[in-house]
Amino acid sequence: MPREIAIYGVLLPTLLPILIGVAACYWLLDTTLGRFGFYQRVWHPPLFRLSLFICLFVGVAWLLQQ
Amino acid sequence: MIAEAICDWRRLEWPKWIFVLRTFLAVCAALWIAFRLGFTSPSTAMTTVFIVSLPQAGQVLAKSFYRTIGTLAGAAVAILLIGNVVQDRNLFILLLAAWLGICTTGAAYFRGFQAYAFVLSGYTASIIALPALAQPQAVFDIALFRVSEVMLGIFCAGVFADLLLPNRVTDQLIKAVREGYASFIGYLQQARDGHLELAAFEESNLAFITRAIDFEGLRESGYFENPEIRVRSARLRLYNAEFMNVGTAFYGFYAMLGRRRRAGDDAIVEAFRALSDPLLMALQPGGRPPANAAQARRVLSDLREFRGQLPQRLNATHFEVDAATRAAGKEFPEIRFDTVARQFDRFLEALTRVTEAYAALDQLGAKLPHRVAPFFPHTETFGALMMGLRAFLTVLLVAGFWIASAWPAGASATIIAGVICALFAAAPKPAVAARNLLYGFIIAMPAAGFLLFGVLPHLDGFVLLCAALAPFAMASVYAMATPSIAGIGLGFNLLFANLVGISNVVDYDPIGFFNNGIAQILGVITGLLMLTAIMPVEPRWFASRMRRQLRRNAELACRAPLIGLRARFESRTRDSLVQLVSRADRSRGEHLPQLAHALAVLDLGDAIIHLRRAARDAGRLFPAPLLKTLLHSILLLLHRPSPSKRADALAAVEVAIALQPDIYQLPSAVIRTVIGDRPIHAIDDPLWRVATDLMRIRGILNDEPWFAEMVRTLDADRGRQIADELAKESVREDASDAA
Repeated sequence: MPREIAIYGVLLPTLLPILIGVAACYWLLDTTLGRFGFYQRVWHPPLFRLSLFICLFVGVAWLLQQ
Repeated sequence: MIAEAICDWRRLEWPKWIFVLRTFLAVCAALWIAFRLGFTSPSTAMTTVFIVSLPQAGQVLAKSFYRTIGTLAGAAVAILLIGNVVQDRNLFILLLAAWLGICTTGAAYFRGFQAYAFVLSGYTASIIALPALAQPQAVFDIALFRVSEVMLGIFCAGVFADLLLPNRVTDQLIKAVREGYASFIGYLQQARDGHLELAAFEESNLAFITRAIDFEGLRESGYFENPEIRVRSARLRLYNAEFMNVGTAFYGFYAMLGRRRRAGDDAIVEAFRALSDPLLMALQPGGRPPANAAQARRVLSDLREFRGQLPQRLNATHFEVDAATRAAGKEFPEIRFDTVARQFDRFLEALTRVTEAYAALDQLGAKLPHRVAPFFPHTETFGALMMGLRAFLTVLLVAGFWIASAWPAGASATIIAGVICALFAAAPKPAVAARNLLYGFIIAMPAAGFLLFGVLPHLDGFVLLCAALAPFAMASVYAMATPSIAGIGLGFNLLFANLVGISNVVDYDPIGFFNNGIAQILGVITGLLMLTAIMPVEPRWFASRMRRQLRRNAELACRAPLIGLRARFESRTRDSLVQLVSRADRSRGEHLPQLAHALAVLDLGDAIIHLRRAARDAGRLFPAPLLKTLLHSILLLLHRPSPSKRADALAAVEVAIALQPDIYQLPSAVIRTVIGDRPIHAIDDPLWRVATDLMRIRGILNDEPWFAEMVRTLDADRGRQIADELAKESVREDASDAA
């Protein structure tokens, strides 16, 4: 994975678009899980949610690096 | 004694210290990551943490969300400006000032976190564009670093707020639902027991309205904090809207009883008081109001049962009152009884709906009981435009001085002056808020100088840096958590973080330090002067505008399309009402007449909406021109209240009442269903609704106190003229009485 990518000649850190994409997906997933009452079965919802976000973000970045 | 002191400390101080610790750790984390990633100014991340740090996790997340939006929008505008007009400095300044003006208008128009997004987009645009003016090719880098640093600060603040001993909006929201409902029932009980003076009654009504508006803020924060709240968001909004409704309906009912009492119909008042006993029993099973949705469901079934039996109950009461009045040798005012009965039924309906909304709160999947329009608090347009204009002028003024005098640090002053105008556009007391910020700035400068030139040169490494920052950051965050000096704390943090300007490459520049610090303080002073000098929000001016707004809302009730009108009218009126009353001087009891006036306008609008609905249902039975004339005369009255306009409106109501078929003479099949030989009130019959609503409007228009207040608020000359008119009218009335 390149450290930076060029969009119309502007150099952006590659992580920035990934972050934005993952944040959008996470929001959807989070709402869906809440909608079906999943968080009522989790021990520590905020910690779970943070971990979920980190797993998604790091996972996507790592997969793209391969 | 000592135990008590510890308890007090635990309750009052402990949450503050937790907040201080949490914020400080978030600051350290943000700084560390910013250093690791090699950002140009880690202090931006630090400032962001300070700014979005609010006591509750949900508030932090909500503010962060809107800060992100504002930052992105501002960065985009800055790039556009630099890209297109960088060659022409004057045009550039003009456009930037215009953008700040637009953002300030938005910040003044919206409320809460949305307003903040506007402040931020104006601020970000200037903070990126002005430094880029000298080096246009660097604008992308500046924008990119700014956005990244802000995001990093937000991330750190959010993680720490949500994970480290969090103080959750969710808990408070649950408490607010429970306590709101319970205190409403307590208030009903007090009203029934006759403990409420009119003023106290209106005060508690105000308390409910404030509660409803705070609730909306909590819901918005909770939305970001907890997915469970997010999926229930529509339900909570429904509950809140119904809560507002039931307040209005009860106010209408209670005011009506007051009018009946003043008119000497004590029998009616007593009858309805007796009727509310079984209702209060149903609302408090086992002597306690429901504490959760499951208990609310039980109350709901009792309420429905009570409402089902209402016709029979009303009927029995009707006979009792009839007998009692006739025994006293007076005529039974049947239509007046029915008018109160109708309002009682409407109140019951609202009560059923709010209980229904409460009972539905613990369900996730099921459909909403019914839909509801969003609550949309906002300031009136004209005032917001004025604020925007003021910000525009301020920026032009400071930037003009900067260009004319070739002041090296002019850009900082321009940015800060613009921010002051935008940030405090919607504050109740902008000058006080700006002054507090100024004090913070003044304290921050020597503190930052001491840290930067006295302490930091002797230190090495990140841990020591944090240790050196700790006393300053903790003290200021503690100040931010103390309401009376929160503004000073915020001001301190803003300038302190900016001046210390921690970065990987240390740059000791005492001249720049002083120039920058003094420029920013001058910027705040200019902003403060503009706030107080140009179009200051003078309390009287503001109050008159707010009252105008209230009357305009009632005008809306006369002419806007009926669909969704109810919720729109309710939320707008409540918002204006709270703004009006919150700025009045409470210690002198100034707010009481204003409150009475506002509540009466709310009641009038409510009655008009009901009349229009009933007229719609009555169709051809209630001629449209009649309604049109009536609404028009009320519109005129609201537009420019005067005794003659009121007389016109009352005359129109009288005509409408007179032209109505006598509902008691209609064939019983239309109006009443007869069971045995007892007539039952046909509560849903449109003509009956029209008749009772007309009576209600007449009652409200006839009410003296609020009209007097409405007149008093017009300007002095007009007021005198009206006072003369009033005097003449009373003479005429006396003459006609004598005749």
